Amino acid sequence: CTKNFDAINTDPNTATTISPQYLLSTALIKTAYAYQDDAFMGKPAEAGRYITKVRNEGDDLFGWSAENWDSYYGTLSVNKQLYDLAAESGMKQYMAVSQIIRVFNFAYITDLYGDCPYSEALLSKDSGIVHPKYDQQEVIYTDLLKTLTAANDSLANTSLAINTTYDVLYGGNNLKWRKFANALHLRLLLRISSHDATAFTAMQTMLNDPAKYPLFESNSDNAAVKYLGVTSSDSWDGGNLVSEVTEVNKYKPSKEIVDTLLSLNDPRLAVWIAPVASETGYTVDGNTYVGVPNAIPSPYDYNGGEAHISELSAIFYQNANDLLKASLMTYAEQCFILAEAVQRGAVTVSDETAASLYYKGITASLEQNGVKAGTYMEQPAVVYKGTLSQLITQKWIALFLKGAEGWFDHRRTGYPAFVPGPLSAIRNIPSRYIYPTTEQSYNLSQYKSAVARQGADQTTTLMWYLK
Amino acid sequence: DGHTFNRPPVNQEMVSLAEALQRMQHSFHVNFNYSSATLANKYVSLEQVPVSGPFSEEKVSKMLLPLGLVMVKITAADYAIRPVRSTVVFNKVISGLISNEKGEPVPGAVVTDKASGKTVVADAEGHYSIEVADAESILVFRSMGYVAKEIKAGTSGLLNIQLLTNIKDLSAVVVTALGVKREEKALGYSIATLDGSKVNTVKEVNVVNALSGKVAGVDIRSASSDPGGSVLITIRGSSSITNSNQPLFVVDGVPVISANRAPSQPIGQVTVDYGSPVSDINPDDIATITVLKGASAAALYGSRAGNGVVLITTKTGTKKKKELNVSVNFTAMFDKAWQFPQFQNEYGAGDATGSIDPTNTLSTASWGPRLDQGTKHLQWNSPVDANGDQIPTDWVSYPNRIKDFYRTGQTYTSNVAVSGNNYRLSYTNLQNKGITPNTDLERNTLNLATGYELNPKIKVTSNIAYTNNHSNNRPTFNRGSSSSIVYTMPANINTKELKNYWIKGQEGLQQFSQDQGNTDNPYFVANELTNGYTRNHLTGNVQVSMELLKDLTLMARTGLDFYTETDESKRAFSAIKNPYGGYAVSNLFSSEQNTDFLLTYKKTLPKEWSFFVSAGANRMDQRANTSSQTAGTLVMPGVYNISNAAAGTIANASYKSKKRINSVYGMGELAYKGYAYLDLTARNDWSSTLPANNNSYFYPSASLSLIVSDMFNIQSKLLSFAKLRLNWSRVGKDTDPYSLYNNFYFNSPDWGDVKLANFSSLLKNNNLKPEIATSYEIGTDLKFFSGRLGVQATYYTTNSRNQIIQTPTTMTSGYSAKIINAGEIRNRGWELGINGTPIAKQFIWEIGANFTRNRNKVIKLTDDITNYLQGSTEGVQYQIREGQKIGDMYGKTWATVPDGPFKGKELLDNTGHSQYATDLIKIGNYNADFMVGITNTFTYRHFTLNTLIDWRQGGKFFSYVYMNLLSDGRTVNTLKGRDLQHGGLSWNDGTTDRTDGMIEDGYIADGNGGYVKNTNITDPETFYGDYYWKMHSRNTFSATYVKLREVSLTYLFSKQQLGHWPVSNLSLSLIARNLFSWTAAGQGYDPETAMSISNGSITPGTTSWSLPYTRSYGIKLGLNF
Repeated sequence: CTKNFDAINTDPNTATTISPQYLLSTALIKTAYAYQDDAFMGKPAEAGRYITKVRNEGDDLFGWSAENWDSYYGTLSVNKQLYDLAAESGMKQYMAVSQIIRVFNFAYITDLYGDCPYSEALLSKDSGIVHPKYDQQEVIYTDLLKTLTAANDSLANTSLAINTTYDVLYGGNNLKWRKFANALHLRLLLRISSHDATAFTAMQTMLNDPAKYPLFESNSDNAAVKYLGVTSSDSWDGGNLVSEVTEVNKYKPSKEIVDTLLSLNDPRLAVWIAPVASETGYTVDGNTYVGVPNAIPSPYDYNGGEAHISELSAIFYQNANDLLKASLMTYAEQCFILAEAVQRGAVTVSDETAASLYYKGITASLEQNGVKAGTYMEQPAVVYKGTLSQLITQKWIALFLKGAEGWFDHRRTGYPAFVPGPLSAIRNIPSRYIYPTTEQSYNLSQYKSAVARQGADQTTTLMWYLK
Repeated sequence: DGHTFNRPPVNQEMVSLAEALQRMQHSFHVNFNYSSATLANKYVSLEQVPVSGPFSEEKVSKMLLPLGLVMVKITAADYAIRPVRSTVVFNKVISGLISNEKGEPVPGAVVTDKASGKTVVADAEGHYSIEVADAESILVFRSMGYVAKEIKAGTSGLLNIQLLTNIKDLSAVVVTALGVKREEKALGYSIATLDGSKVNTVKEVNVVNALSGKVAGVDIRSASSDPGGSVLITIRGSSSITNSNQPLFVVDGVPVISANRAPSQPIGQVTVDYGSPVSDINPDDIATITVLKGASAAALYGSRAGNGVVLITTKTGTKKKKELNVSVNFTAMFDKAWQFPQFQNEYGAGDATGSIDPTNTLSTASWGPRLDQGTKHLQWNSPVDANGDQIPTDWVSYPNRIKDFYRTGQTYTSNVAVSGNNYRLSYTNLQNKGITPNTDLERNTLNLATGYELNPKIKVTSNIAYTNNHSNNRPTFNRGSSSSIVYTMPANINTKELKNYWIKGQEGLQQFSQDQGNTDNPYFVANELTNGYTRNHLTGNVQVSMELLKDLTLMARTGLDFYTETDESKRAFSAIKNPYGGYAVSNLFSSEQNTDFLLTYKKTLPKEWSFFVSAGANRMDQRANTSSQTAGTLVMPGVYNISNAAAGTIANASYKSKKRINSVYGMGELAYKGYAYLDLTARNDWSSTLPANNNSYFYPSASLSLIVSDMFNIQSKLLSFAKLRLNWSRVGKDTDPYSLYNNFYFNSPDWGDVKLANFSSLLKNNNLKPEIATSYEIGTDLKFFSGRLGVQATYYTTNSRNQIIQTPTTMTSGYSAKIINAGEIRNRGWELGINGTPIAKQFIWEIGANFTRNRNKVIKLTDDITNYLQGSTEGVQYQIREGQKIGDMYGKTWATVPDGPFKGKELLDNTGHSQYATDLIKIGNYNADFMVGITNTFTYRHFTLNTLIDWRQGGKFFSYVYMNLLSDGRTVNTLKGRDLQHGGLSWNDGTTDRTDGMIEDGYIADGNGGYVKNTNITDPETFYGDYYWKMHSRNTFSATYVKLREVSLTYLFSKQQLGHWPVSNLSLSLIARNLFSWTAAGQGYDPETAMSISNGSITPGTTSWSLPYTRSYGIKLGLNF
């Protein structure tokens, strides 16, 4: 009776195995595009005070409700398949880049939420674990750092090539992958530096051996995936293939970023921000560029209405543009990380000072945005003063709509000093995301023990390295 | 010549008529019946009175006629003498309709004129016509299984008759599983049969809709008011957590392809409901519909019958030779958009009444300045002056802006059927134009039924139905649909000004819209964002029955159901979601072939025992192929061909699947004395979709039918018949193909020249077991007052175990869901049916009512999971929690004061705004507490009035539309607080003095552990946004409704009225649907179509943008040649 049943129930639409390169492209694009989505249209852009939404401004009021993490774990699931397939056939180069992608995503998750499923995560298929425990952030970070070191070593010791076409981040350049692993390593070390005494030592070890731990050397090393602008799935979020103009129009530059750029005569202002439609008839701000304050009533009515509020510049409404990339990490950021560490006196970098690194960071950012420095860096407000406030403010500008670092740095350092608006639900900028509601449905007991350990599941609760 | 009959003439020997009759009685041994009044003062001449020779009726009649009398033969030797009623015009031909107590026609009934012995047979629709001698003629109506009825012919020429089922001879035959015909009294389970006439008077485009309110235990819900849309049908509640719970449809013994298909979002934003292939079944071709409820009756249909079976038997030819019958009917229905939300027309576009921004009035929200006050404001269609600045124009309201958009829907159905000796050929054409401009549906159906007797022992029958469906454009739903756009237009927009939707000089390139660049013009959506389809659907079977030996018969049958469909969607340039146009074309193929045989042995044993046994086998093969090409960007405007896609933008997809189930089955019946019947069935299935070690599953059933009234010989005028039914059964269920292993596929379109591999986030399972549903049923059928009142009652309980569900898992496990066997769902309920004939004279009143109550309970999910998210739409979660019910909806609600004197009151945040409670709360369940359907039929002479009332009590629906319209100030309930006149408070928002202040009702923490009443003033937009938009529970309503679903008034012309026209059975009906509707919720929302039609699913209980509810009127004309 069951003759041919195997053949009938063999799925003709799919393959049982596949070359790892096809999953590498998927994992990279998912990672980069999701990270950039958040950085432009997600909560990090609002918490980092780049953006004020003038309609549906719920997120701006900082009364954040639970935030889903499925897209990150979904990417990690693809990435794990990539690793497993590569491991089956001993393709070390794919195993290593998969580890770097893994660290990037897990680091982002724990930076957003704090404790999260890590060691028992992604094991539904292998071990039937459907209720993974939440690991402590401290433990996660330790393992992430270890993984980055191993990936860097592994890539240094293999001659196996990554497919140039399918490596949409670095075109199969092993060295650039190592640079990215190490730059990311620095980002994570700085993040935990106040809670982990060994962080700066580890940083110094890396800095002492540039051959073993190559770092970003210019913008050409930036970890960023381009947009093609062909279909909605490969286009910039603000372009008309993805979003309606009405939707993008809700995203106004914040008063903080506009006023900071104005006060510094920053040449990047005109690249990023559009002048107001009408300079007559305003109510409170007569500038050519007007940002919207956080959490005020009727923000669309601010300054006499939308004709008197700046929009983002036209490039942000495009489907693709050379200036628009899904940015994971930039050379400029690395410069500012090192500048901060050196400024603190925690590490030394050969041939560099905190000031030189600070200027290199600014220069890299200006260059990346296609503007000339001119006399920008000679202005008193820009000339290196050695204050954390100045340094972080410049880093914040350089990372405009790139990643969540603007928010994370504010959380860590208190700079730049953001002031939540009158309607803000909390007194400060949020410290974390609230765990997804689905966790209470599908992973309740693990969720409960995580909350019991870390503190109430609220945006104001401090995670390990912020305590 | 001046005869006076009342006075005896002279010169002749006269006798009184009474004496003359007595003489004849004596001579001829005949008997005359008369009243003495009839004979009074009447005389005949003695010569005229025959007394010898053979008795001659003619002679007697001749004698009587001058006296104004006639003689009518009653039996061989019985005659009646009656006066001729010369004042009444007498009709020689009597015609009419014969129906049973359920109002269904009784085809083939025999009508005899008692006097003349003339006999005719009623046709398949119960129509008859007979010539009679006079109005006093007695007509006798007889039909198998019915009590014969005698009635005077009367004078109107029209005589509609109702026959009552003969409860002593309950041989009424029904079609049961596998097409086996059984006597209804032998069945140990509840079965509902509807005659074709019940579904084709007030004709529905989708025949499933016509079952609504007519069958106990069956829940029918249209997804929208569009006649061509999908219809959800649930029999005895939802038993499965993940499956659609739709029953199996079987046409002439052969299962047809899945009843429903998911709506899709072909390209861009709107969702299209292509309707269900089952709607291709043409109501005019249906002879009967039988609903086998629950697992019990369905045990023999296997896996897919767990949700019940709808058996449709189509009409066939007659057995009479040399008869050609042509029937024609035509129906025209007109749909009028009827119920709308209560839109406000007092305030126009704007973000805030007190806004200082002059461009504020260009907003899409409706918080703008007051309308019709003689003011001018900038608005959507403001002309531009020499400097390019917009000029303010008159600020006036357009209260008809929504109604103006919809047109009168029209549906014309024409049917011609020719039937004769063992064949019937029918052609139907349906033309529909929807209420949304530029939407339509055309359907052509050809149906051929033939039969052939090779010899008396071998019969071959065949049914073939071919349907072609075509639509240039289906109505669309959800976001981006023309309804969503029209509903959300502020009151200062005149819809009529949007009809010319191209910007002058940019035709085909740039639309002109009420919200340029942000929202599509609704007419542009209707005319330029079209979603058409063509479906060719063929259903056919060939069946051979053979009498192999005495008592042993073999039936072999093969049936095929398949369709091919091409869907084509076009998007013009400047569409908001497809600025450079778009095009999608997809092809679907789906087929199911069933081949089966059944061997039956029937035997009557001594001592009043009899039995039959059957054994059979079935092979089912399902195949589906789909392929689609979608381009979201075109190069040349207006060219809808996939080659016109911008380079690299084509998304390709194709999918194939196969499935096979092999089955063997057996059934048997043991009957004793015609009052006790024991039925046993057993079936084993082998499904290709399950793992090799678990792919065989067995399921049995047993049922007992006891005719209690016969067993105990109850002979009472009150209780004429009593039957007890008992049933226990099991059904196994398999799963979808390819549910065992996870594999890789590529996304489409590619990322440039890079391919992106992916795999399903649903973790498959190679240890699956079949699902098992077990049900018990007990019921009774009672008849009172010689069958004038019938009551059927059934109580059932069904437990579904081991369900193959996609249990969601945390994505942190690497997969979003996992296929497992789990769960136990119980459905319990009552079904009651009552039918009676309070009056059955010249005026006939038949009433039928059914009552359905189902209670669902989730007994258990799995060891790990006590809470299962079935789905979520518009923020409402459909959670299945242990101990709760399927259909529960959970949503956001407000925080409450936890302690102190204000405990339980709303707790606002520090600035006086609503805040969420931590947990979602149950906002209701979309299933009704009970449903009642009541039909009344009144027949008087030529007229028949039919009504159907549909009452659904209880259940809730969440209205996203209500919430959306309210939060943007579009409905009347947002007027409060807008200005001083409407109770607004004076306040300053920090920059401006305003008069639209409102205070949210609630309490604020005072910082010292206490709570104080909120005094913070906010604007209406925030107020309504906080109060309604945030809280699902405040936008949830009772789903109770009462609808006068169908009304039809039919006039049946008599033969005499038609004179010598070559037509018969001419009838004309005025029909109406949804003539009246009362909803507990009010507000203009229809709880029945409260559904969210979104890509991939139709979710009951939550409304999203849909079509307005409609009321329909029409006319039906039917006749035979």
